[in-house]
Amino acid sequence: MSASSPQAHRAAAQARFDALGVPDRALEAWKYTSTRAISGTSWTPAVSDAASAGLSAGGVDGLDYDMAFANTALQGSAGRGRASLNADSVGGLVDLSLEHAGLWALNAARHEAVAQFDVEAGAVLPGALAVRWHIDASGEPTSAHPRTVLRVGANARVVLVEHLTSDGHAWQNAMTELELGPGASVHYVRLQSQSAASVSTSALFARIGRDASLVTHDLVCGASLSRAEVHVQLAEPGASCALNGLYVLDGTRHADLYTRVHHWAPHTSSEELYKGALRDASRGAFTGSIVMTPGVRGASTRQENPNLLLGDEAHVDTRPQLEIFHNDVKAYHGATIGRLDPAAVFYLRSRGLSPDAARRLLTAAFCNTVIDTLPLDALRTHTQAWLEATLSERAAS
Amino acid sequence: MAGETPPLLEIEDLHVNVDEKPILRGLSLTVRAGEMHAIMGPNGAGKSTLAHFLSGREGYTHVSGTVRFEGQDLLALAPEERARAGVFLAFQYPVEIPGISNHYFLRTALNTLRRARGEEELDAADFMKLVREKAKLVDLPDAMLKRAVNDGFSGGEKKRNEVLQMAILEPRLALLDETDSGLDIDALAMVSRGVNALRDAGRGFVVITHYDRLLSYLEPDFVHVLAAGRIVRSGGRELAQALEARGYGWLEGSP
Repeated sequence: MSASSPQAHRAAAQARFDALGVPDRALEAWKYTSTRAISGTSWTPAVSDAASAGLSAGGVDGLDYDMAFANTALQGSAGRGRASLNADSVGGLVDLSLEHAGLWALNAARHEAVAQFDVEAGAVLPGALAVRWHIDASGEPTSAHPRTVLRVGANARVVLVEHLTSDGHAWQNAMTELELGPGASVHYVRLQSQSAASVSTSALFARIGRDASLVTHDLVCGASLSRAEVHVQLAEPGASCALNGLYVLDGTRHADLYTRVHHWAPHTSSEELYKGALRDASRGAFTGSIVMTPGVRGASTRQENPNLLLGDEAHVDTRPQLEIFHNDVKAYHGATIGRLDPAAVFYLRSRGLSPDAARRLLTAAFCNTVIDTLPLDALRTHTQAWLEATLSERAAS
Repeated sequence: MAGETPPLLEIEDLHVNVDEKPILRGLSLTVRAGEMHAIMGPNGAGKSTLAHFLSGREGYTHVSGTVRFEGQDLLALAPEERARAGVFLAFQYPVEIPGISNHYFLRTALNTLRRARGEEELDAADFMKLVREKAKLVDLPDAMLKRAVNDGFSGGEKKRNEVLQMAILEPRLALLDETDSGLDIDALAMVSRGVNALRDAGRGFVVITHYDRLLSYLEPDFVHVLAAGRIVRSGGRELAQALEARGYGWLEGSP
């Protein structure tokens, strides 16, 4: 079978998925997350049906979407990008030979639409490139496999926002590929705002060229089960990334944030700040996997994963995985799992705030240090409003 | 003259333990509106315990005695209720809160108190005007209102920020817990100016300090010496000056 045609690519990916299946806890990369909510549900593939577009609500105010897909159909124009059926993939980023590549293979086999952006060398794009992927699954459980590809030329600067939304019982299995040319600068935001019954799995793959830098924000604002992966290749000298994540969970929601950064070249640097606030009986997991190959002199990595346990039955698993095969590097990692500082709660109460209001304010403060570094006012305002609403629901109940 | 105004704070024969160890052992003190009382004393005498206990901090066991604030039982109130009633503690070690701007925090606190008092909340513009005016009292630049609460503030900046909070919240009774500790002369002058600007006939102050230096700026009406959990001597400014010159040793065993 020739691997050159899109059909052949899809068939090969399907065969790979058939061999691997949906990943489960037997795999090291999935040890903290049960996927029964995926494998135990009979999913109907989303079909292009403009009539079911539920895009009128749930967008980020003040954000101009270049592309908006409702049940896999592009609504209106493709803005500054282009929509296509088959992915023009960034080569070599997604390794389907890995044993935990099941969902990547499934996306490669089934993606219904691709949002693609090519940014010319030297371009500085105002605002943000933005894509919204929405599924209306208010009927039967519905799945879709969104795919986004962004190629950025040398020294170009761009912000890309992917906004995942759904109604009803949906499963979005999204995959995104980024390629940063020399000196390019990209801020990527993945805003997950799916309905409370939905499942979200997503994987970002990025290759960073010489002296280029990638900043990411993963915001888990919805879905009952969320798995968000970031895979970065710091491919050339001077490449850097700063990965940020925020998960605020309640009820029995589960979020698993998985990152893997590969330092291939000297003077590459990576930073990670993932923060979790967990209430009730929610579950969180964070993996910070860093690989430094031999010869990466002057490389550095810094990783922090503070978690705030607010519910008596909340639980979080956090694991740094540093595989460092070179001596001349700097590496730091720190994970904390704690509760609100009683001294801080008292300080606020001594100024008149009720215990609930004090705890809400301190929780918001904890989360704000991630929100504050979002790239657009519209995103900060949206996320802060979402956080405030989420935290006050609690107070009302 | 002292008997003419009603008492703001009345502490009678107060006994408080920390971890079963008696710290306050029969402390009595009356503060009337318009008065400033300074409390001095050696380390471990119970000065900070008194301030923390009055503000409602956990970790202190009330053994016996009463504390009345404007006639009501202060000890029956939760910390936030005490604040809403008009009690303010300027912390010796203010807490840092990264992620919330000083400005937002001050506005939240003020509007919480205003709601509790049945007053309308201040909108952003009115609050900005108020906070700018009050910040001038302690020379706190605008930039520090935008920064996170106490986050990365120097010792002096934290203390000035406490006094700014006090100026904005306008308590009936202010407790200052070693507000002068760690301050250089300039900061001490600024903090004192802020405190003095708040003095009026309706407000009472309890100032806890180790040093006469602060009192030379504040000129309290009364100076008390707290030793071994009780007030062992009361007087005016001259008492503080005597302590500064002679230490606490000469007071030992005094009634």
